[in-house]
Amino acid sequence: MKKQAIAIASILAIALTGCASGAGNDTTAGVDTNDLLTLTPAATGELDLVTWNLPFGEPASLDPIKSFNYAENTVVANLCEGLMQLQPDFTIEPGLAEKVDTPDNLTYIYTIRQGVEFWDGQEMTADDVVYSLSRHQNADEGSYWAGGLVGNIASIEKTADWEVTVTLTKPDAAFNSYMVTPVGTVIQQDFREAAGESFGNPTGKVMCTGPFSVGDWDQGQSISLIKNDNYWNSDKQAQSAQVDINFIVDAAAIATALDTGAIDGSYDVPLGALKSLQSSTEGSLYLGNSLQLVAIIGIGNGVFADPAVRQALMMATDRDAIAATVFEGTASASRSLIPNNGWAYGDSEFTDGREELAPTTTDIEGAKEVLKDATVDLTEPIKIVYPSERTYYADIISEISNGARAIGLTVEPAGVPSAQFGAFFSDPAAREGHDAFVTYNYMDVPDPLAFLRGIVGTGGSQNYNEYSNSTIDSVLDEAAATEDDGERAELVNEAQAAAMEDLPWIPIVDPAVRLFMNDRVTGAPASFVYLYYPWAADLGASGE
Amino acid sequence: MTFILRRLAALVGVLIASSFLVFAAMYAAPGSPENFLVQGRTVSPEVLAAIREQYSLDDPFLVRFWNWLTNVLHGDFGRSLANQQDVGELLAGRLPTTLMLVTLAAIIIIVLGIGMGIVAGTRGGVVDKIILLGSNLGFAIPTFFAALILMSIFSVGLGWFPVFGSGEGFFDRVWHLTLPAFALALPSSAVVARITRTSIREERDSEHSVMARARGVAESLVMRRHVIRNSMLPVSTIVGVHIAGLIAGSFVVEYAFTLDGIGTLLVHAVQRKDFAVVQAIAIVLVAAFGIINLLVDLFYASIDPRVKVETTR
Repeated sequence: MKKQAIAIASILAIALTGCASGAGNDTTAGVDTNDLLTLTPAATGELDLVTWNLPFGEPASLDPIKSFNYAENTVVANLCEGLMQLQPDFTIEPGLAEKVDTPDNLTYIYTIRQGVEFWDGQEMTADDVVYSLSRHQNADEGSYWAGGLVGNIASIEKTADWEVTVTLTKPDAAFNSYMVTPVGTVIQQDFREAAGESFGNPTGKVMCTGPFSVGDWDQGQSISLIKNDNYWNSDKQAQSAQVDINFIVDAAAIATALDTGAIDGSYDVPLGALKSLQSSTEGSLYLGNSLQLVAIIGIGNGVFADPAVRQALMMATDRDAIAATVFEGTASASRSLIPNNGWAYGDSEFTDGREELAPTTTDIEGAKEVLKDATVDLTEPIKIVYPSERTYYADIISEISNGARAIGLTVEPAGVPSAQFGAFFSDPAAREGHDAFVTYNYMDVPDPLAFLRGIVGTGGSQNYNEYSNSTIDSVLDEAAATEDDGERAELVNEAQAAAMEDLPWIPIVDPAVRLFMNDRVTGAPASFVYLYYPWAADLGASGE
Repeated sequence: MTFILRRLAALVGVLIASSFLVFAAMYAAPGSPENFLVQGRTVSPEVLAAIREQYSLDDPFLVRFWNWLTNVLHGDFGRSLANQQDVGELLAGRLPTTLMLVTLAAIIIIVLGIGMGIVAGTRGGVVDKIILLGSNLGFAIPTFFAALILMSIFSVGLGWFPVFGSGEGFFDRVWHLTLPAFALALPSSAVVARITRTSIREERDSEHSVMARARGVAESLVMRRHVIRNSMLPVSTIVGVHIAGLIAGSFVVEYAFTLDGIGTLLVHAVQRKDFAVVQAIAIVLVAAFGIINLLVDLFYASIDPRVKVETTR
């Protein structure tokens, strides 16, 4: 009996290693982040209807100031536009503002584009712009973007018929980038005021200027985007008359819907659906350049509070294996807290800065050496909290646990229901008594300064373990006040190197964008711009 | 008649008590609603305070419950915290799907469950064995797994049914909801089939059936008058309980087939601590349970005169 069990185990082991070597015959186990796509083949013709899916479920609201996550932003990006617009290659171009002038590092003068109409035919004015931007400052409007960057705005004024001037309290070189996000999105003032409480919800909807307007919102099921024939930018007219976005969240149902052609495409296809979609004859899986990061966030308690422990744990964890198995080769081991290529300026500086960081390879001996500096009781287990419905997190933590065991530490996964997990990000009381929790995070804008500031800056929006380092703070402030892109990038590199020493978060992998499209359709950008760029407008016929 | 009135009064009492319990449970659950709303983003304290004020989240527990109760008596179920929509309006959009799904599943349970049970109970032999095996299988397969299997055979393999959505218009809806209804009804049908079979077996060999046969009453008449009619008493109870349970269990199927019913709405609302929505759905669930149980009792009385005498006294 025992013999048989051993035989079965060894067959399984052979099968598993077979899979692993099949998945990555090259030396890097995951995908190389430098090989990821920015675009997919351009559409060759127009379509009447495209059906899409939103695996994160139904948006709670279409009001841009209440859009601050995948579900809402992926839809709103096609409806409402900002003063600036993020491009698939992560550059930032003028949007509803023709241009921006910065006479000093506290003043941003936006020249508002003329001849832009809302869907109802009313012309967009500088008053609409001032009104929209000011909504973030009005607590009664309840903007999810209030605080942080918005809190730094001293005034928003109409300074000429077609000119709006924004003044800051202290310099922030990342400020203008945020005009691609809902911080800079323009809605119609008259419509907002008339809609009252129902603005943004399925009854009230919104009034914007984008390439699509809102059609039927069938609650719990789907929302229709209808092509805006009067769109101001004739080069960027939508290629499909209608795009229906469904809200299927179950991985198996998503795989089935995509594989049968019932749905034409989806961003963020669930990891559980990857196997069947990689071999699908209906369409193709595209891996795109991303701004996402999977990391372990320290809370500042227990063994995990010791930087030496975190450093050792990162060195001992086989992050390449996580990229290859848990993410099925659609991610790469993280070298930094800043996702690779997550910048719109300073390319050579950021690339060089990254090269100077420790490599991502596993180093058990090195980890043991680092662990000698630890001053905490290493026999205590480290509990890493994850949302129990997302089983792939348990797989990630299990791999971390393997590395931990090799250097004499104990790491245990601690699953909590999703509803409770959400509170870890917002409620200090929920975090109390825990050591660490896992996160799937993304950069709002391709600016390492803004992302790093949120994680390691004192009081940063994502600084969950109250990390505070006066050297890093002063370097970040200096960077925010530096106009020259190259010089700023060098300063951010300095902060990055220091952050990678202390590791308030342990970066695990940089996941690629996972986009699936039916052979019938093409054109949606492959990179991580679908939160702030009208991706659906580029969707059209593939000619096949 | 007083029997019905008394039962309805009891139902109202149960509704108030259960809504109080649900309200208290939501209130006690960890996390604050405004924090779930902003999804972990760090928002200025002024905004959080404004949200708390808009939804009177700072009022004491009993005040909030009392306000809610008096509003409901005026027909106002409040506003959803998550998407700022009128809850009545929100439910009106979702209820038809769940009602239709549950109705279809109930029909399947009654037709398939009782039908199979009668066949197995009266026929015996190979047919009986096959139905027994089938009901064992049906009972053992969890609903979500049944949903997956049905989908992969009838939607993906054969392409007969759509893979998601609840359709528009009556016939399209029936077409969209057939597979989900089967997945939902499967375990209950299996239970009902087994109970019907056992019950029929018992009645077939009971004294009055044997006597009737001895008096020379035709076998088919004995079956209809005595065996099947009498065996329906325990069966009606179990069918009632299972149909009432369908509403609560529908969320699994709604999730798997992406249906816009109240089950998925409830799950989301609980996650976001969306008080008004959870309360309204709880009321609907409890009311449905109470009404179905009432109907079962009435049915019971109609087939067993003894029950009627006792209750109308």
